[in-house]
Formats: sequence, C-alpha cells, structure tokens
Amino acid sequence: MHTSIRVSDTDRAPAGAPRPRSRPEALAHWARRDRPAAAAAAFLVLVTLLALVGPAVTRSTYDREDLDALFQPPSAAHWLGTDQFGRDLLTRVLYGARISLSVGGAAVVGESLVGLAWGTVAGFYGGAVDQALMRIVDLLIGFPTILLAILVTGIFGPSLANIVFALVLTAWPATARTIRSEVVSIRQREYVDGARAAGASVPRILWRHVVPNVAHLLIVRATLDVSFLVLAEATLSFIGIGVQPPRPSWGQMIYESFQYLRSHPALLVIPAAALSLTVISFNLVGEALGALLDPRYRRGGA
Amino acid sequence: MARYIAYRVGMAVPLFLGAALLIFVAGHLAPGDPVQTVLGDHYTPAAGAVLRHQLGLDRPLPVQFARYLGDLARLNLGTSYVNPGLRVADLVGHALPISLRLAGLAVALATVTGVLLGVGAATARRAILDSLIQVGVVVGLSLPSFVTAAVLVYLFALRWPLLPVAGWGAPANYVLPVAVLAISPVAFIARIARASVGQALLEDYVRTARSKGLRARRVLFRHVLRNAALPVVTTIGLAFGNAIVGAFVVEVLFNIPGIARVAINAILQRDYTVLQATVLVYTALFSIVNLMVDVSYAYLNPRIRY
Amino acid sequence: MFLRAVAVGAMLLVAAVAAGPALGPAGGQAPPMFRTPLNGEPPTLDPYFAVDSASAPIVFLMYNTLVSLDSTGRLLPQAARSWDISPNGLIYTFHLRDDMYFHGGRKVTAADWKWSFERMGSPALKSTVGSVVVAGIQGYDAYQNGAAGIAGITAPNPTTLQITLNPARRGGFLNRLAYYAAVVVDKDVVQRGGNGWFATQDAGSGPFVFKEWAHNDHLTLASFPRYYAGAPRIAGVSVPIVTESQTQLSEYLANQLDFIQVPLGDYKRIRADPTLGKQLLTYPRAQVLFLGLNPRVYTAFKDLRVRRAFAMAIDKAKISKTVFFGFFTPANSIVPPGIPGFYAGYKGLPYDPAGARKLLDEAGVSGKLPPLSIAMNPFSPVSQMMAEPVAAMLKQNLGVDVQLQKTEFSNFIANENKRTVYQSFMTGWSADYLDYSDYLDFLLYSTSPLNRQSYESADFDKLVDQANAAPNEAQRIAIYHKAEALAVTDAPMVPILFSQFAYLKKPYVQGLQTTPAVNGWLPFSGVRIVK
Repeated sequence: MHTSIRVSDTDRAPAGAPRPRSRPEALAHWARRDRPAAAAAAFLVLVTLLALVGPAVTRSTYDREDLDALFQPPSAAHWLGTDQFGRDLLTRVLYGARISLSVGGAAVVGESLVGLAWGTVAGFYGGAVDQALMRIVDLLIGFPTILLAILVTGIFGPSLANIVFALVLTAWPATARTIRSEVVSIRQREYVDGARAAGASVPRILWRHVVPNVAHLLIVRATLDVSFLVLAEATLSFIGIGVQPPRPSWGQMIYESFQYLRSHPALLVIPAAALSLTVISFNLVGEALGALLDPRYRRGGA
Repeated sequence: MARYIAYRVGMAVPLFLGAALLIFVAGHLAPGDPVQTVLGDHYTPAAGAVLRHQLGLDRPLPVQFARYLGDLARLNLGTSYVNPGLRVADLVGHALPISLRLAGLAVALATVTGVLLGVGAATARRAILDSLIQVGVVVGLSLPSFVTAAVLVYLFALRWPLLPVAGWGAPANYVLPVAVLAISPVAFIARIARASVGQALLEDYVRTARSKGLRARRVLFRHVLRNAALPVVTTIGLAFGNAIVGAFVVEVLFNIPGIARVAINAILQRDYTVLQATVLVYTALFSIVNLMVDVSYAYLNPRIRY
Repeated sequence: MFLRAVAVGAMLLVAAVAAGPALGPAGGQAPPMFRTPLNGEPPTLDPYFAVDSASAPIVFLMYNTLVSLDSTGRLLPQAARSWDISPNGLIYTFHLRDDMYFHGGRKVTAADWKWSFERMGSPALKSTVGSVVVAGIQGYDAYQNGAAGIAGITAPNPTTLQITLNPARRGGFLNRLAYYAAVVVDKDVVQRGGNGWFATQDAGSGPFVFKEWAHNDHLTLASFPRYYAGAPRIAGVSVPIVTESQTQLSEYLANQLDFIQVPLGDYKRIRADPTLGKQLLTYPRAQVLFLGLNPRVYTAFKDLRVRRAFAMAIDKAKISKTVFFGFFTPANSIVPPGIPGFYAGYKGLPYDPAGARKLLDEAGVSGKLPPLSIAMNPFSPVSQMMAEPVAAMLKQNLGVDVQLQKTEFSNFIANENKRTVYQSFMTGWSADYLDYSDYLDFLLYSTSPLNRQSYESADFDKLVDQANAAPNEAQRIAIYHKAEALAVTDAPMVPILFSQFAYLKKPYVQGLQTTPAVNGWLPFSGVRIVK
C-alpha cells in the first residue's frame, strides 16, 4: 500500500523555477487575476500611509480633550465624531493604526525568524536535537501567555519594545512546531538527498532547498499570526499591561469602549472595523503571496 | 510503535519538571504577591507577615520548590494560597472537564466543517465557489472572538432570545460558546486542508495516477487526501490547543467556570499553587495532543518510521 | 486514509468530552430565589478577613453585628436589643436578644461575643477587622502582648455584654461595631472546621445560610427559618459570579438576574429608557475618588505650593458634569456625604489655574517640572475615566507632561504598598463602616499603613488623636473637621469626586433597602418577590 507512491525523480528546487515575466508585468498580471488580494494590498498600503501621515493631517492630537464635546456625532471638525473624553476619533484611529501595525509587524517578524530557525534545525537534524528543541517548544506552548507577558512587562516595564518582546516570546513556539513538521517531510524528499549526495553543505541545503520550501507555510502562518498578535496586544491592554493610555492602539480603543457598547457603539465599531479589515487584508495578501512564492501552488491549478 | 509511545511518555517526565520549575520561578519573580493581593487595602506588614508564614511563603525559594515537588510526587497539589480551605485538586477537577468538553465540541465541529470546506474549495470546479469559501475562511480567521461573541449574543440571546446570554449548566449554554470557539479553527483547518489538498493534487504521483486514467474521486481518496492529511492532523492538534487557549476569552465573556477562568484568577491573584496546577494541566493536555498527533503522523506517513 | 486521520482527531475529542461528568442540573432557579451577581470569586468567607468587594456581601448576608445601620446610615439595634453608656462615655453595656440562634441551632450568648471579639483581635490572626473594631477596648494592647484575653470585654450573664474602652481610642465605637465584619461567629464551627472552615459552611446567625459554593461559578444561600427577625420571605439568594458588568446587564435584560449594579457607560441610556428608567435606583455612596501625590518618588511634591498648585489646576466641577454627566459630584472635602458629620458647605481649594501657575512660579519650578506619571487602580474603569481628563488639565494648566500608567491589580497593590514606586495614583476609598475615622485615620494618619501618599503632619496627627479621645460625638466631629480642612489645604491628596450607587431592580422585587456603605444594600431579609 505504501509502495504505490512515486515521487518525482528530479531535484527540482521549487524556488529556483524560472519566472515567466518581468516583475512589474507579473505584478500586473497577478493583480488582474486576484482582485480581492489586490484590493487588500491597496488597503494595507493606504492604512500604512494614513498611519504615517494621517495624525499630522487631522489637526488634532490623540490626547487633546474637549470635555464640552463628548460623544459627538461626525461633523466637519471631527469626521468620525469624538470619544468619551471629547477626543477626535479619526486622529485616534489613525494613531492607533500606527501603534497596532508597528507592534504587530515587529512581533510577527521576530517570532517568524525565531520559529523558522528553531523549527528548521529541529526538523532537519531530527533525533536528539529535535527531541530537545521540541520539548522546549512543548513547554512554552503549554505555558500561559498572559503570565509570560506579565513577567516581561512587569519586570522591564510596559514600553512598546517590551510588549513586542513579550508577544514574540508567546508566539514563536507554535510557528516552530509548524515549520518543523513541514521540514520533517521535506528532508526525505529526493532533491534533498540528491543535494546531500552531491556534497552540499548543511547550511546550503537548508538555505537552498529547505527554507524555500517552507516559505509558503511561513507566510501563511505569519499572516495568521498578525491577527493573533494584534489581538494579543489588545488583551495585554485589557489587563493593564499593554500600550499605556492616553496613547491609543486599536485593541486598547476597543476594550476602553466596551463599556459604551450599548450606548455609543460607534466608539467600538470603528476601531473594530479597522482592526478586522486590516487583519482580513493581511490574510488575503498573505495567501496571494504564498501562491506567488510557491509555483507548485496555483489557484485553480487543480 | 509501542516502544515509541513508551519513549514519548517517558520524555514527558522531564517536560513536567521543566514546566513546574518554569512556572514556579516565573510566578515568584513576577511583581505582586498573593498575600498583598488577598489583603488588598487592608494589608499591613504585620498581617502580611503572619499570612506569609502560614502559607510558607517566607521560606527560601529552593525550599519552597523542593517541598512543592515533594507534594507533587505524592500527587498532592496542595491548597489554594488565596483560599486555604480549597483543595487545588478539587478546583481543577471541577473546572477542567468543563473546558475539555467545550474545546472538544468546538474542535469536533471545526474539524468536520473545516475539512469539508477545505476539500470543497480545493476541488471546486468553479472558481467562484473556491473564492467564496476562501473569503469566508479569511473573514473567520480575522474576526476577533470577542466581536463574534458580542454579535452572536446580541442576535441570539438579546434580539431573539433563543439562547441564554451567559452561564453554565444547561445544554443550551453550550451553543454560543462552542460556536465562538469553533469559528477560528474552522477557518484554520479549512485553510490548511485546502492548501495541502491543492498541493497534493499537483504532486507528480497524482498526475501520474491521473494520467494512468484513475477516476478523479479515486485519486482524491487514495492519494491526495492521504498525503494532504499530514498537515491537517497537525492542525487539528493545534486547533485543540487553540480552543483550550481561546477559552480565556470565551469563559470570561460567557461566564463559564472552566480551567481558563481558574488560571486567569490564579494569575491575577498570584495564587501560586493553583497557577502551578493549571500550568501542569495545560502541559499534560498539550503533551497528550502532541503524542496523538505524532502517532497518527507516523501511522499516516509511510516515509516516517520509528 | 484521510478520513481515518479525521477520525483520530474526532476520537480524541469524543474521549475528552466523554471524560467529563454528566451535565449538571439545568440553570435557572425557582422563582422565590432572589438573584443578584457577584463581580468575582470571593477569596475568603471568614468574616474577619472578608474585607474585599466579593467576600463582603456574602458575609453581610450570613452574619449579625451588635448594632447595624438603617438605609439613612442611622444606628439600629441588632444582636443588642439596647445599650447603656456610662456618664464618662467609656463603659458600654449591651443587652442582648435572647432569641438569636446560630445556624447550627445554638443560642447566641454574651460569651459567644467575647470569644468572637477575642478571635477578631487575636495577635495570631492579625485580622485588620480587629484593628478597626476592638483596638479601642481596654486591655487590647495587653492582649497583643500575650494576655489571655481582652480584659475590657466581660459577659456577666448570657444576655449582658459589657465593654470598657481605652479613653485614648474611644472614638466612634458604636459606628465601628456596625462594621459589617464585626460579627459573632459560632466557635464550635470555627474550632471544629480547622483551617478553611468557611469553605463548606458558615458560622453565622444571619438571615441566610451557606448552602453551596461552586468556585468561579455561583454561591447559593438558603433562608434561615429561625432568624430572630422572622424567616426571610424568599427561599434564598442565588449569587452567580459574573465578572463582566456588560454580561451582568445582558443577564438582567434576559431576566436571569433580579438586581445588578449599572455599568456607568450605560447609565445615561438606562435613565432615558422608558422601561428601564423606572427600574433604576440611584443614591449616594460613601466613596471618595482621589489623586494621591507621593513626595517620596516625585520630589517636587515635597513643596506644599506644588501640591496645592496641582490641586487647584484640576477642574472637578467640569469632570463631574461632563465625563460623569453630573452623576458623581465634585469633592471639596475628603470624607463623603453619607458619613455622619459630613462637612457640608466646606469649599476646599478653588479651581484656579492662574493661582496655581503663580504658586509654581513662587516655588521656582514653573516649566521645570519633570514628567509625572499617574498610576490608575485597575479595579474599576472609573479611575481611568478620572485620570484622562486630570492629565489633560494638568498638561494644559501647568504645562506638566502627564502620562498614565495602567497595571493589573496584584501589581498595583504591591507597588502602592511599597510607597516608593508610584509618583501619583488615581484610586478611591469606600466606607467599611460609616465613620470619620474610616477616612482620616486610615488614609492620612502618619503611621497608618494606608497612608500611601506618606503624609506626615504632626498637627494633623494631633487633631486625629484629640478627636478619638473627645468625650462626645459633636466635639469629635468638630475636631475632625479641623483635621480635614488641614489635610485638604496641605493637599497630600486631591479629592476629586464623590460617587453614587446606580442599581437596576426588577419591579417584582419589593422591600429592598439601600445604604451608602459597603455594596449599597442591606441584607435581603425583608425582600419579597411579587410576580
């Protein structure tokens, strides 16, 4: 039953496959074919731009209060209205984008790199190395995230850098596990054996043959993790060890407006929509990137 | 295989010791302590010292750890620091089954739904169906659970009062929490299932099988699904872990007396004994899930032999 | 094969599901139960340690004090039918009821009170309740140093309890006795039950009896048929533990709860709602919300002019009117209305930004103050609702860069107690018992562990000592007012708002009585459910 499987007889390193067109052409081609992903990418570019320049343009600051104008509906002065302290909601959402994106982005890069290195080494070497490395992962995965975060921010203080550090600590083990299980199956492929037989060094094999083959998985994971990390940051804010007020992050704004959910739902709906749309966009773009980076994996190719 | 399982179970011992040490050190290093938390605004150094002595918290950390390990070896989880009348084993014994049932139901629902959706998307003849499923998957992954919970509660408990808002005990209490817990794993599993089925369909042996004229369904079942199952199995294990962890939000929002609530309280109150027990429970759960994943992995993948 | 993989997963799950016991009984209680939630799991139900907001209400329902309070805060007899006070004001003779029974069936006697008060004040137990209630009794100090009991408490016969006070610490004794934790306990239960006796039973004589405590889930109390004032007219009290105030509101709206505290964010909407507006109860709460200034960490606060400038730069009236829509009122003094002797008419420090800036100029620190961080008590969203506008006002009026600091509760309490961590903190203080001493003695006396702003004023301490030794209540209050005015103008803390209670009560619940203290209600012994 097991013998019926025949695997390709070529040492075909997928990432080395020739690309059919030049880059801009390929991009245009891709955008035409995957409209949702293109729209999502455009949205992310827009959000990033707004996060960078928006707070400067709205002529307010995230902490300027006007206690005589609480809970105002949208107007010419305040396009999205004002919050529970009379602050301009648009400015806060844009500033919140800056914080959420930079925290989530930095954390996802950090945890992906750690997880990739850890999982690749464990999966490729196998045996005792694998056992040792993966038991540490098991240990950390079972460990309550919140406590780890309390520990980091409690000892080092709740600065943005420490929040990122806490998030990296909590997220990388799951990535390492996913990468490792993929590497375990890759290392038995013929092209890896072939490279070994040809005398390629281990770093070269890892870099040329293994990493490119888990890249798509890593990207799929990273896009999933952005959402997880942005939400984790919100949870930290909720128990009081995240971004410090009056600075806004989307998660912080959502939790702070929970108590006004029934009376002033817009305060929650606006940052929640911004958060959801951004995360959806990340996922769409990540998916499309995965397809782009891995030529074996083509939409509708089945 | 039996030897492998025995080996893995044996490996769990150092894992437990590591977890016990890690949580012990982390708990005692984290700022805040149970005595001051319990006494709150009524804390005085004198009252604190008495309580600290009663709980044995005034001894050196290595002594406390040794005593803790000794108790653990005799399967004694001790009593809560915050509530000395309460045996930790009782607390965990009451809360754990609730969380397991919730997570189990959620993952069972998610596995069936997710795999069906994923395979449907990968093999859909019409691109529109694939796109629809994929968009649904992305949305499912992207919505924060507290938002879906709020929406579901608003719709099915307040707008149309079909289900209870929160609480625990009646079968109706399961519906909304399970639904909220399942949404993300459904998307997760569907996505991985779709990706691996899609990938397996392109493998040369499948092409070969197809070129040999095997019927599509037969190819799907015999070759594709079997090879695509590997990542999905890992994902189910992960999804179970996610559902256990996702309970942190759901148990609070739906007011369910599960192990996540116990863990949150223990963390916030620095109730070390309870905290240590919950971490060991989590470690055990994840070990078992991992073991089952790896065993099924070995069973499914002919190229892996132990 | 693939399906088998799914089956492995599913089996694992079914095993997990099946491993649990069968489903519990269906939720929802029979109609005559009164249903009101707790905000969190009680850390204890030993009355002498039940001083937090989750334990206090439960103890309040199961135990009795010698004297109690009515809804206006006036003293009423409870276990004591009546009492006589000697002409010098030092000897209290309590005539006890002879129809009060412990839940175990034994009659409550004067000897039980003596035993209970000595347990409360026991140096081994170190209950803070003891230091409030019995520390003013003659012989308490000797008891702390090894004497066999408190000499000032005697029980000449089963219905007479005599208590002799220490003249230096006599103040507010009856008010202290009305502290909800100053209760009598059944020594048989406490002694037999060992450590943690309260987890499965109670030792009380109050209107409700401990029935069940499912941790993190609910508590159930049954009514006590032999309660001295007559059996309650409800079958009992069902107390689910519901941590989120929004969930409490949802359950109330879904008719799963009868009585809940209103989340502040929904107050205005509920008040305007034609149906819910009629179910809304609002009344003053004996709680002051304040900003503590800590000179040990933010050294500029060592200068009186700087502290006073900060106090004068905060527009309390505006915060009250806008952020709290007039529901919470500006606090000109420290001790809130609802406490007997409230300093009505006292104006305190004015809101005067120009004057405040002038004070900073005089102190030579204008424009030179380092950034200030305000730590916020995470217990309630109210601290952040106050801290945000305060930060903006200090920034605008004084040019000080103010940051806010959130933290979780354990961390906050530990850091507050250290007194060397927070530069300033936004928090509140609610009455345990309705008396001036519960505020000034605790929060500002130089040696009090709760004096977290490290206020040290010999004049203030002297006034408080004088008040506690004053021969009568009127003189005592007059001295306390002097101390209070001193503390307000010295500004070790800035009182900002006095709060109020807002509850929702279903129309079919009748006979419920409210109070400014503790959780805002009196034990539900008179509550009826009329559907």
